[in-house]
Amino acid sequence: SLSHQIVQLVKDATRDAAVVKSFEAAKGLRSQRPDKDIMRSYRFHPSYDITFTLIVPEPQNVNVEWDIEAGTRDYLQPLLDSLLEYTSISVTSQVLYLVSLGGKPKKGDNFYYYTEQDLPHIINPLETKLGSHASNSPALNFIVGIPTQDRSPLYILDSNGEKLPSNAFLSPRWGGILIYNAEQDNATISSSPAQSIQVNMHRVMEVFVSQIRLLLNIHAQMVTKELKWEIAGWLRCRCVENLATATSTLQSLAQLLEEIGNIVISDEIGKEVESAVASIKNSRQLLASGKLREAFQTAFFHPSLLELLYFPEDQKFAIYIPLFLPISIPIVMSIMQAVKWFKQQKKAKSE
Amino acid sequence: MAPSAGYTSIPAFLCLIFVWATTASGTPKDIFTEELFIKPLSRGYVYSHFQFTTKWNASIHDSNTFRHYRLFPKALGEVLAKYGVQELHLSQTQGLWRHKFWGYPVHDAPPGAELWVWFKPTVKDIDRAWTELVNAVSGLFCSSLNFLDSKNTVVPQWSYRPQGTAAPGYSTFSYHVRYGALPREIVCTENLTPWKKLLPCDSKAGLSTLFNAFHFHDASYHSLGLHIRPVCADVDCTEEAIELSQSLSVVTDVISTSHTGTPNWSLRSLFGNHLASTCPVAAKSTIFVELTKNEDSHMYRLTPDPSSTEKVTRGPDQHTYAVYDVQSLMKSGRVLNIAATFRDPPVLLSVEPPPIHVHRYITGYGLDKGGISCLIYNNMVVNQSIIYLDVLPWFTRVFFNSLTVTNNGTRLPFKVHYVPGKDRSRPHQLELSFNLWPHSVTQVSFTFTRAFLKWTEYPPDANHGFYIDSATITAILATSRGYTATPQHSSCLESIMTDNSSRFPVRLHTESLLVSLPTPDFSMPYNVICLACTVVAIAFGSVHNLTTRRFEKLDPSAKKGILTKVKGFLSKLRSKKASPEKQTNNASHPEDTDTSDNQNELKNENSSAKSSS
Repeated sequence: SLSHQIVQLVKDATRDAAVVKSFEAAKGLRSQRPDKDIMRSYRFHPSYDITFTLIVPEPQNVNVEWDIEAGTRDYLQPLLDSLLEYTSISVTSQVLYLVSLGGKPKKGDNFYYYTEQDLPHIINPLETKLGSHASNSPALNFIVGIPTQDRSPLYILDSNGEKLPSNAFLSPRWGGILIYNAEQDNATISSSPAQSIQVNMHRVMEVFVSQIRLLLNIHAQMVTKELKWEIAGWLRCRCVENLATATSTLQSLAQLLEEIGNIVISDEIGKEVESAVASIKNSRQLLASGKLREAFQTAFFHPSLLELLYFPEDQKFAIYIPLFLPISIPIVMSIMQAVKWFKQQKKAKSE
Repeated sequence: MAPSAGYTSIPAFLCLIFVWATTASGTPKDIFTEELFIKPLSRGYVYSHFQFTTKWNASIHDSNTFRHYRLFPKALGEVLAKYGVQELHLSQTQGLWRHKFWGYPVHDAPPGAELWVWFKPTVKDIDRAWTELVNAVSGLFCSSLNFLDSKNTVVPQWSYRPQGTAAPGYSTFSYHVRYGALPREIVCTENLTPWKKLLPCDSKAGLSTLFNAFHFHDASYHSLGLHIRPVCADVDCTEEAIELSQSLSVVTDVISTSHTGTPNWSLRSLFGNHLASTCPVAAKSTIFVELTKNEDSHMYRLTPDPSSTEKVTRGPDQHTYAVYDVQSLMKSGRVLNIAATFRDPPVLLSVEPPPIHVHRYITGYGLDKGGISCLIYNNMVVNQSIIYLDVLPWFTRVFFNSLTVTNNGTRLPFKVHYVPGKDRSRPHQLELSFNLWPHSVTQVSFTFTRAFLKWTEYPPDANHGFYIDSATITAILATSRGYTATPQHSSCLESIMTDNSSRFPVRLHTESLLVSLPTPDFSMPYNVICLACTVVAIAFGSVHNLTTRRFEKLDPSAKKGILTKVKGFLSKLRSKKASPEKQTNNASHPEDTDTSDNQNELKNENSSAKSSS
């Protein structure tokens, strides 16, 4: 019926199913089946770090240039600007020399390829050079890898044996990797003694922007391509996720306190717990009334890590034993003898 | 330079082409150079200094600079951007540089770790920025720099001035500088690895392939240095640039470590490897060997022949360098192994003391008081004014009235900046400025008293003692005898070849000192617990048993358990040993035997009770 269809349309537009999934995942329910969306995307955080890395394994043979500043400005900035109110995303880039992609590509007809099983090994040699000492925000790493000259061109084959058109893959909650074959990807090449490559930013950024969307759980709308509607749907998911995370954290905290009686909790944590409860109530009300933005702000507040500073029971035991055990043994034995004597007396009396 | 229209159209067109051509070729954003400096020292030692310089044509004050990196390491740039750092100087050293025998190094470093930072004028809370920066840097280099808190950080007033460009008046009041040192810090491969990772070529190509941890940690002295400062991009100083200089200095004792006992050295014997590649992203790759006392090769000969030999006049002294242009020497895929062969019998370089050298030591005896004396030798024929900085931990309480600066018994006038320490929050800081007379020894001395620490403040190895930081002596010399540092405007060693400065700033670090504090015996709590518990157990147990012992008659015909059998056997053994006569007596008195048996058995019960307690 028509009403049914309208309801279905609205549900799709507001991404109802995704909201429910987020809520359940954040609550930490163990009964749910593993879901690709939830496992792939990052949890919400007030800031993210996006890093673009260009891997040049043989700088003596190829001279690579990429205009990453222009690339991020043109392709990524609109998305980042629309998210500016809710989360701050910082974008950095670097070039790594004399590092190559891991794994061993196999030889095809006149090309080399990675299969799906090889993909986890590609990241390993790069991990040491990625990462930040200055920030705690979750990091999204996007890597453009230039294959070495003796392993070029390099493709990724899917499970059917077909070359992937994007030649890129995504690693859940980590980032994405794209293998850039110069001849095929419309790069401007000039062959002086060292081959010079100018990376085609359009090709690279369109893959990465779609990967960023998947990783941050911002889905393209089926009904309309409006960025605003995408953001609204994302907000709904995030809001619900924060609420669920906050309530589940508070619940587990209460459980922990019940189990371990003499934990020392600082006043700060107590205050945070109180404010978290207040924020949860507040944001629930706001959600019910449809004020998405405010609800979002207040829902994100949960207690931080707890410092366990208590005296374990068994250690207390160990300290007092050397003093009390030698004293207690003769006493216990005397008590036993006294009891025996009393029993004897009773027996004698009753006879 | 907008070209004027009209009749000058053709030259304007050419002008336009010229402008376009230069921008199309692109001014390089950053330049990386790698250099190695080898200087044979006296008595058969060889000083090798690796210098990796990255000069990035960007301004350190611009917030967008630290976003897109090419040759400058991103891990380091993020830390600099986040904490508002304008200059950062970090050194990690193992060993002591002996100025008297070896002259001056390119970058002088005290034993242990030393970090001093100038923050940008825009940083509001410098103490907080320092704490966070120190933690980030300690994570970046795997060293425990996070122990640099207020207890060992000072604000030097006259030493440690900014080495890069700065706005006028920036360093007048020293608001933005912090200095801290950890003399106890050990340098090992754990520190070399993250330091190597910051190089664009890592250790896969170029001079960094010569890094061999075994050879370095066998050396008499090795030091890792990291220096970041803003510099002028060009001679006119219209643009700013950021210069990152990573240096590794090693002093090897060639005679002791060679198999033949000769002072011949080569790249292979010093570093375990010959040079087989150059870094592809390096603009220049050069090796310099200082030939100052050996221009005519009468002491040793270098093979292969250098690309060029430069004679440089720095101040009143002349220096000669052999320059090897590695990139051109290795063009056709050859390998490079520079070797010095001494003639037979070898003649070594003679010891020539540098213009100024220092010796600092602890005086006094016992665990109550002590003193520090610093002897500063001036080997020049002119006066030299120096600045002396000494930082003492709070538990060596300095007596300021005991401070004297004497020269052969005559007291010298001095200018002083003294900040007394505060227990558990601030160290004692002493900064002096005075004149050294020609060809003389000046002595700075003061006394201190040792504090008694709380028992949780001792380090795990409490009886080792506590370290006192090196003192720093800063001077500007007029002679370059033994001087190897680069001129102020650039850290590349190549700039020495074109140096025409007449003043040579030098910084010396003295020995770090080890002082014993009155240390309690940490095994006492364990001893006390053992003793008290034993005494209580024995005394209580015995008294309790004595007072509550009851005698009961045993039935000899009753079935005896194993325990009573064993006890009976043992007691029989004991009575047999004790008195063979008694046994014969007992045999004639059977009743007595019973009671004595009973007594023995009762005794055994009590003794077993005692042993169980």
